[in-house]
Amino acid sequence: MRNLFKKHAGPALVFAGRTVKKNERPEGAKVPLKWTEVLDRIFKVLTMVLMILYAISLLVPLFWMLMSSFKANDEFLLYTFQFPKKFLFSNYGEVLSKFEYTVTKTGVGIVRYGLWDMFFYSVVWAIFTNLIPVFFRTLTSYLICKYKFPGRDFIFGLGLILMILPIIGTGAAGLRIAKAINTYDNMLNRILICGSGAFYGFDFILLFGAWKGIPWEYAEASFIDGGGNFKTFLNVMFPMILPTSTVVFVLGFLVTWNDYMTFITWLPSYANLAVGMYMFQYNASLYMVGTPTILAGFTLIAIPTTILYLLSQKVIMAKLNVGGLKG
Amino acid sequence: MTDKITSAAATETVPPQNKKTLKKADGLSSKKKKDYLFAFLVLLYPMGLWAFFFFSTNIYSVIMAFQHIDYFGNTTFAGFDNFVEFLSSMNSEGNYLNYAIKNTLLNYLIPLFICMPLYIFFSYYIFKKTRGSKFVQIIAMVPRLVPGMVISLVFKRFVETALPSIASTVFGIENFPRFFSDPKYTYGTTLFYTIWLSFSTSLIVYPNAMNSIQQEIFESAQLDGVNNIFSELWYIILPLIYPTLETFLITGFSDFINNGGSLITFWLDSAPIETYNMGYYFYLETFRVQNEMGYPMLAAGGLIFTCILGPLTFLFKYLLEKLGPSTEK
Repeated sequence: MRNLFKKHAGPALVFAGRTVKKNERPEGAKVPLKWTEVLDRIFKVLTMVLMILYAISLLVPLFWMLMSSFKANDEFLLYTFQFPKKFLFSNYGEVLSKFEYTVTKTGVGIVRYGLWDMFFYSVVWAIFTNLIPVFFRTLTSYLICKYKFPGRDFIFGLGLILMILPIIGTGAAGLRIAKAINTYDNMLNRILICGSGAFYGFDFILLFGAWKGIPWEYAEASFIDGGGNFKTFLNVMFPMILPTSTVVFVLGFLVTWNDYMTFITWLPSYANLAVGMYMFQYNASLYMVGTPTILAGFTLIAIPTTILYLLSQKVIMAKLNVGGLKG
Repeated sequence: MTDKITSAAATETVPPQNKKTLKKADGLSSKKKKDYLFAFLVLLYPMGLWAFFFFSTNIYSVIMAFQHIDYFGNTTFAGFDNFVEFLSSMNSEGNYLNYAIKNTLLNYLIPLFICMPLYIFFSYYIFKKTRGSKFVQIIAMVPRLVPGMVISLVFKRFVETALPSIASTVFGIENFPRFFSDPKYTYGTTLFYTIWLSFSTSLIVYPNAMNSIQQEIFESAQLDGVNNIFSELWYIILPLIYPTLETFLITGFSDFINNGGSLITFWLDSAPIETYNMGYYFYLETFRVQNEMGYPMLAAGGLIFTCILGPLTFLFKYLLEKLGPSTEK
């Protein structure tokens, strides 16, 4: 179609034998593309190809995990990347029956955690280590965003400094203190202190940004009706921030459900599913299980978070918005 | 900060009987007193805990840097011995701290320069709702919903077993590189893994930041001649999402320094020294070795790094603010 246009001397073009003025296009004729538009299109196609390749690269190992979890051990060793000839569910049965974690607890001796023990600790850990901080983060971000009180700017500034400042090598001191005050290897005490530092961090910034978008007039109306600060927060303002707080909770839940590092470092004699599975695969030879069984175990522990994510995916996509580091 | 609506505004709208009370009150109005009490109660638990743990840990770490701890846990004043010991150990043969420092910086800088433009371009197309972009955005969240440990270990097993199998059956390559055990490849493999997973959050946060830009800005910019991807990105989007970029650039630096990352998942205590980073080094020495006599040297080392990297981070933040685009003008 582009060859219908011929460059003509002067400000006019010849279209299908008829001379037209430069800015006057005949109906139905396509406007010739500028070189920047061509570049835009090439770039768009290239980026899209890269994006799709990236998405595929994320899916392939997980798909391989799922497929391999249905294979017999021999089949897996011989045909590592092929579809299973026969879908075997026995690996799932094996992992459920053999999955355990054994630790030595000071003063108690050997503690053996079964599947349901680990599931219980996963649920307790993931719920409480999120519920408490999210509630306090919602409250402190509300306070700092909407109220003026002495020290407010200082606290906000301090939070920013703490987010930025890399403090290195304090683990040894932290470990000695934790042992001295019984927060090391004590789950209840670690849960009780998890609301510490609710005035900074990524979640705080997220909530602070969300509060900024909620008009103060709602609170004013509540004050006029005789509501106090707590009542106004709980009955009027909190329901409005709830979707964002839910996103923070869900994202935190996904992280803490999968948290095995805290258990390895701070709670060595406790076990959730993540640390249990980590150590199970690490000691696979002791339990006499093959890679397909381990992969079946990985698939199982990914199920709860996948369901949770799928249920809350829309609200996460909509509410995850981080602004700058300025008030 | 000034654009914030505060409860001070609320005092102007209190009913008449409350205004009367305000006049009667000496110094602070009762509303303000209630506000301050509310602030105090809200902050009591999180700030109290933070103050205790932050100060006790950090101050004790500084004190520890100047102490000797013997086998029985007794402490004596050590002067600058731990600092000297730490610095001289860095130069000793076979010390893996040098690897850790180099790798930590590379782990931050390489993804920054390689990934940042890709984050922006990918996010742009998601923002523009290009066909297929929604699918990519959803898939990019997969690393967040599947346990990180599972992703790491599946990746490791996939690279160790599935890739050689594919290389052999499809391409006939028999001596496929052993990416997780050959020292030539181990660091590159962990770096690739870090980059590979880093897109997850970015592909949600940046498109959302772009979505918050008002459509009118694009329309008026179009009239001013901003009509292709690059000019739209350069003149409109980057300046307006700059605060989000800045937040990730600055806080990301702090995260990288202290994060052992995937090394713990891949190898627990036995990562190849070529892959060490500072987070892993300090984790290993503190939590796995648990040799209390070595703690003061670690505290001294940590203090040295904090004193160097702390000001550098703030300088970095200052430069980003100074040199970056401003939307307030």
